[in-house]
Amino acid sequence: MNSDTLTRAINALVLLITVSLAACGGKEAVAPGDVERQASEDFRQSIMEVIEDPDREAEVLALVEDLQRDFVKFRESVTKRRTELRRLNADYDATREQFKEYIEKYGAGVELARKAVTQRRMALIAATTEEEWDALQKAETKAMKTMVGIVDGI
Amino acid sequence: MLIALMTIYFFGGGGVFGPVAFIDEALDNVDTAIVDDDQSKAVTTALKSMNKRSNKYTKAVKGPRKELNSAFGTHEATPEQIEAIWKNIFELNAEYSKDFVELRFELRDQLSRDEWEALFPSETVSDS
Repeated sequence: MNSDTLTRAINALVLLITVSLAACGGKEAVAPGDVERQASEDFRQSIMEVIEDPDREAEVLALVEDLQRDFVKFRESVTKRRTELRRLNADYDATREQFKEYIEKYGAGVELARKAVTQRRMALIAATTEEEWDALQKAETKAMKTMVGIVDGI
Repeated sequence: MLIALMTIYFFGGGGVFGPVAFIDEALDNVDTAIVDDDQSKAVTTALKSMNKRSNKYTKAVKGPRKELNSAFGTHEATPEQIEAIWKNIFELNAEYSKDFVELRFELRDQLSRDEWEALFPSETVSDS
């Protein structure tokens, strides 16, 4: 993968992360969907450059598309979850049972998403060689560090 | 990338409860919501305890979260290795959720309905 591809992927990911987190904190300035689409497109470009085998390239692109859909659904559920918790907490008459239901409901959602994420990760591993995987991971590393820093700063 | 981002969304900044921004907002409301000085101090202490517990969780989950991101980034990591890290995170989250609810009800038991509603005004809750 060349340095332009890396730079493009990293920039898009950092932007995606920043906007997604800002959206969760109510400081949304740019439509997260637009940024996610751009980040997704840039990541697709990286995959097309890294994976030369057309069949596996198509497979990985499809898996990333599935992940993208998972991510959008998950982001929406997180926003909904936070609003629901605020509302529940603000209710003076809310019972322990209601909080228990809240925890169980979202715990079940997290568990389902966890399984899906793990399965998709294993499918990606199976569809890439170690060298390809490493090349794709390198594009993510710097963005991940930035993302972790932002999350830890909340 | 998206896998790791989802992981952080899952468990970053407060687990199932998410970042508890409304606790900070309540701290800002204490002076106007609670008239009695002693009660005001007690409520402030209770709210700070909730924040402290949230911060403790965030700190505790930081290590496993990094382990998980690292495992996701490694071609060789097995499902069993990843499962063990998830288990640790889920346990931390379950413990935190339980404690948070208890602290919330300890606070609620100190306050009248009017005081509670002044501390956590429902008009600040929107669907956005």
